[in-house]
Amino acid sequence: MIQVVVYINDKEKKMKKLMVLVAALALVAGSAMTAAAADWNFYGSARVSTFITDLDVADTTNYEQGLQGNSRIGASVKVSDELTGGFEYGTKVNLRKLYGEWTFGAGSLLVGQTYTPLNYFYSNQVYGPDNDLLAQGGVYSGRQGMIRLKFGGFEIAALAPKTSTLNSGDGTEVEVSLPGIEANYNMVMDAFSFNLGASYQTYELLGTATGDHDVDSYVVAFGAKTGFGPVSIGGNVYLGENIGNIMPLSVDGDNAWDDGFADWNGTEVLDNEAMGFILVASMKANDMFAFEAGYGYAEVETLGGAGDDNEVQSYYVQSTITLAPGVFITPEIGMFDGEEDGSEETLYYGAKWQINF
Amino acid sequence: MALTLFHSNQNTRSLALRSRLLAALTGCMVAIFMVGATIPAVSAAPKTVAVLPFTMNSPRDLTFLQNGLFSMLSSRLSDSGKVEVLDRATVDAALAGSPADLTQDRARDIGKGLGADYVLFGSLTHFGDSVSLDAAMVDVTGDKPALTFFEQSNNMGDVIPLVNTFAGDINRKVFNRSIDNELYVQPAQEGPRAPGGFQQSRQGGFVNLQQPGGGGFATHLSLDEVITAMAVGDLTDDGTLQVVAATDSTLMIHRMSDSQLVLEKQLEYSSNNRIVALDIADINGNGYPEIFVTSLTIHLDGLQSFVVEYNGTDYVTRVDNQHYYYRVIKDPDGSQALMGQRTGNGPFDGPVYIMQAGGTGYTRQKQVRLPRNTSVLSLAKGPVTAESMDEYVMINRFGRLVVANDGGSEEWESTGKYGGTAHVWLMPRNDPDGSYRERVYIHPRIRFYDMAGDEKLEILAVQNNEFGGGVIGRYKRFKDGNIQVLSWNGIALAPLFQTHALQGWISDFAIADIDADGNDELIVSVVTQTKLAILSKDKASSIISYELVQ
Repeated sequence: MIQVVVYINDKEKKMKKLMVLVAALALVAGSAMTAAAADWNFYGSARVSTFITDLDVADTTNYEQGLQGNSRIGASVKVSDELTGGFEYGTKVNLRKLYGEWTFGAGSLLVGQTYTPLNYFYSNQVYGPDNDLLAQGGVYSGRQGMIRLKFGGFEIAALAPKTSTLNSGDGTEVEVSLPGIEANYNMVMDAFSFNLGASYQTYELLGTATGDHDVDSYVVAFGAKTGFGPVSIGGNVYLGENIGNIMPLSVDGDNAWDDGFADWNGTEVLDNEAMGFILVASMKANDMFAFEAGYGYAEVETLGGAGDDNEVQSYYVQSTITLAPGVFITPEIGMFDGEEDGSEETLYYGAKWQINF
Repeated sequence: MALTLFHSNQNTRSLALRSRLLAALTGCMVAIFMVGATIPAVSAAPKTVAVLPFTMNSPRDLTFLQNGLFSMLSSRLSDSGKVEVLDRATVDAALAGSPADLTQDRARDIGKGLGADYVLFGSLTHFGDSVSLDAAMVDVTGDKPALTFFEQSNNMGDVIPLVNTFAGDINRKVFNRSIDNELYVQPAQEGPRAPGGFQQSRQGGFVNLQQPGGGGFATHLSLDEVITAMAVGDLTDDGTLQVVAATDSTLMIHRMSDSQLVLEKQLEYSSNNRIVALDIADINGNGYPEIFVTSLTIHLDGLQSFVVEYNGTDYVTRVDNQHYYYRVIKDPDGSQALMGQRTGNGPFDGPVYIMQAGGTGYTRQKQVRLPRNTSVLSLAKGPVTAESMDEYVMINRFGRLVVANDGGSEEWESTGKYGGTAHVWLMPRNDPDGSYRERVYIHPRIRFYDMAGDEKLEILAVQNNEFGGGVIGRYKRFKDGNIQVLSWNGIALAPLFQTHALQGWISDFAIADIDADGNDELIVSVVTQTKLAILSKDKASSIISYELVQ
C-alpha cells in the first residue's frame, strides 16, 4: 500500500513538473502572441532511431528502437536587431539551450547555455544517436553554460571546467581557480570555409599523499569544408592532452564517451595525449536524395608508460531521403572498431526517422 | 350617474391639460437652460494654442519628425471656432533667439508674447530603438496647473500613438473634448488614385477597400512549376520586351502575344542550381542587356551565380560560378547600376559593392555603406524622407522595411513585416544533426516607381503572409501575398495602395509595358502551389499583370 502511495507521489511529482513545463511554455507562447515587440519562432524536432546493433565481442545482436534524446522543442526570439535569445528543451525536462545574445557595435555578448565555440559538425552519422563521429575523431565540446564574446568569425568563451580524473577516489578534493577558455576562428571564403580553435582548462587535486597536483587539459583543432557542385568534402583534425574533460572520446569500440581523462595512480597524475581526425564526403543528388560517407579515427596514448595506448576507427555510409520539407529518413550502415584485442567491434544498420517542424 | 360621468370626464380632461402644461413648461425650462448654457460657449473667443517645436534628443537628424510632431499636434488640437493653433512661422519668429531649454515660466512668456492662451512644448528622446515623449501644456495665465505628459516605448513607430494619447489628454482635460484616436487625421485630402487593381488606403490607417469596378488582373502564363524569379527586358534589342521566368535551374524566355506569354526560348542549366533572383540590364554597354542570375548551390549554403546574354544569334553564358548575389538598381537619375553582394555567412551578411563590367566579367567598383542585416536582393535606392535625398530602402533579415541614408545609418524601421519567400539559405551547421540548420529566408525585390503620376516616387514592396503569422515552425508556408505601395508621410513609410491578396506567395515582380499599349503594367509572378511532398505533382505558378493607368 505504501509503495503504491509512493508511486503515486512520484507520478504526481512528474506530472507537476510536466504541468509546470507546459504552463511555462503556454505562458511563453501566450506572451509571444501578444508581445508584438518580440519575434518568436517556435520549432521542434521528433526523432526515432531504429537500428540493429551487432556486437562482436559480446556476441549479441539487438534491435533497438526509441525516441532519440536529442528530440526537442524550442524557440528563437528576436527582441530587437541587437537583442536575441532562445531556449530548447529535450525529451525529458532537460534544458538543452537557454541563452540571450546582445549585439553591440563590434560584436556580440552571449550569456547562457548553447553550443560552445569548439564544435565542428562535418559528419552526419545518425547512429548513436546522431553520433557524427564526435567521439571517434570529431571535435565536440557540446552545450555548456558560458559567457561568450564574438567578433565576426572569432569567438571566445569562458566556461566551467570539468573535473573528472580517473581513479582519483571519492575523497579527493578538487580546486578550480580559473574558468575554462575556448576560442575559435571561423572563416568563409566563397566555396571554402575553415575553423581553427583551441580549448584549455585546469584544476588541482588537493590533499593527496603526495601533495597537490595540477590536471591540465587542452585541445587544438582545425576543420575545413569545400564544395564542388553537388559534392562537398569536409573534415577536421585535433591534438590534445587529457581531452576527456573538454570533449568526448571513445576508443573502445563501444561508443561510450568515457575515455581521454587523466588517470591517478595513487602518487601522481598520468596525463594522456590524444589525436583524432575525420573525413566526410557527401553528395546531394537532388532535393530528395543525398548520400554521405564518413571515416573517423582517434588514438590516445597515456604518458609515462603506464596504462594502455588505444585507438578506434569508425566508418559509415548513408542516404538521407527527404520525403517533404522537414521529413527525413536516413538509412545507414556503419562500424565502430576498437582495434585492439578485447575492444568491441560494433556493426550497425538501420535508419533514423525524423520530422522537423 | 350621467352627471357623475360628466364630472369624471371633466376631471380627466383637466388632468390631461395640466400634464401637457407641465410637460411644456419643463421642456421650455430645459431648452432655456441649454440655450443659456450654450450661449457663453458660442460667444467665447476661441482658445489659442502655441505649439513650440519639440526638442529632439537623438544622435540622428530627426528634423522630419520634429516637423511631423508639429503637424500632428496642430491637427489633433485644432477645433474650428473653439481651438486655434498658431502656425509654425509665427511660432518660429517668436522663438528666434530663445534658449533651447524651455521652462514652464519661459514658455508662458513666449505664450504671452504670441497672445496665446496655452503653450505646448516638450522633447522627444530617441536612443537605440527606445523613444520617450515628454511634454507639457501650460496655461499662459498661470491659473491652471500645467498638464504634463511623459510616455516611452521601445519602438520608434509608436510615436504616433503616443501623440494621439497626449492630444487626447489635452482635448479631454483642457478643452473638454473627446475624440476617438482614429479620427485624429486631417480632413481627407484628395489622395492619389489607386491604379488598376489596387486597393486604396487612407491616411491614418490602412483601409481594406475593394475597388469597385476594378481590381482585376490579367493572367498571362500558368505553369506547373515554381517560378522562383522573374525579370523583364529587351534581351534581343529589337524593341520588344521579353519576360524571363526562372525555375530552380531553368530560364524561360517569353514574349507577349495576344495577351499571353509565349515561350520563345528555354535555357537549361545544371540541376545543381537553385535560382533565386533575376535582373536584366545592359551593364557592359554592348547593346544587348545581360540576364544576371543569382543562384544558390544545391546545398543551399553557397552561391554559383551566372550571367547570360544574347549574342545576336543565341543566348550564351558570359560568366558563371560567381559568388555574388546580383541586383540591378535604378538610380533616381534613371541610370542603372549593378550591385553585387559577396557570399559572407548568409544572404544578409556580405559586403555590397557597385559592380562594373571589366574584362570578361564584372568587378567591384566601390563598396556601399549599408546597415547590418542587409541583402542586396531586397534593396532599392531613391528619395524617401526628402525628394532631394539619396536613400536606401531595404527589407532586412528580420523582414522589417528599413530606410537608411547613404552613410549607412538607419533612419527608420517598420514594425510590420514585409517580404518573405520560400527561398532559403542554410546557415553553417551548429548542431550534430545535419538537417537541423538555421534557415534564413531571402526577401523579394523592392523598387521605386511613380505610381500616382505625381512625379513623386513611391516604394513597392512584397508582403507574403505566413500561416500562423510565422510564429510556429522553421519551414515557411504562405497563405497569401500582396504588393504594397508605400510613401513617406513625414513620420513613417505608410501604405498607399495594395494589390488584392493573392493566394500563395509572390516570388517577384516587375514594372514594364509588356503589352505595348503605352501604359506600364505591374507584372507579378505568384506561386500558388509549392511542392510539399516528394511524390506529389502539385507545383503551380502564374504570371499576372495589373494595368497601371495613371
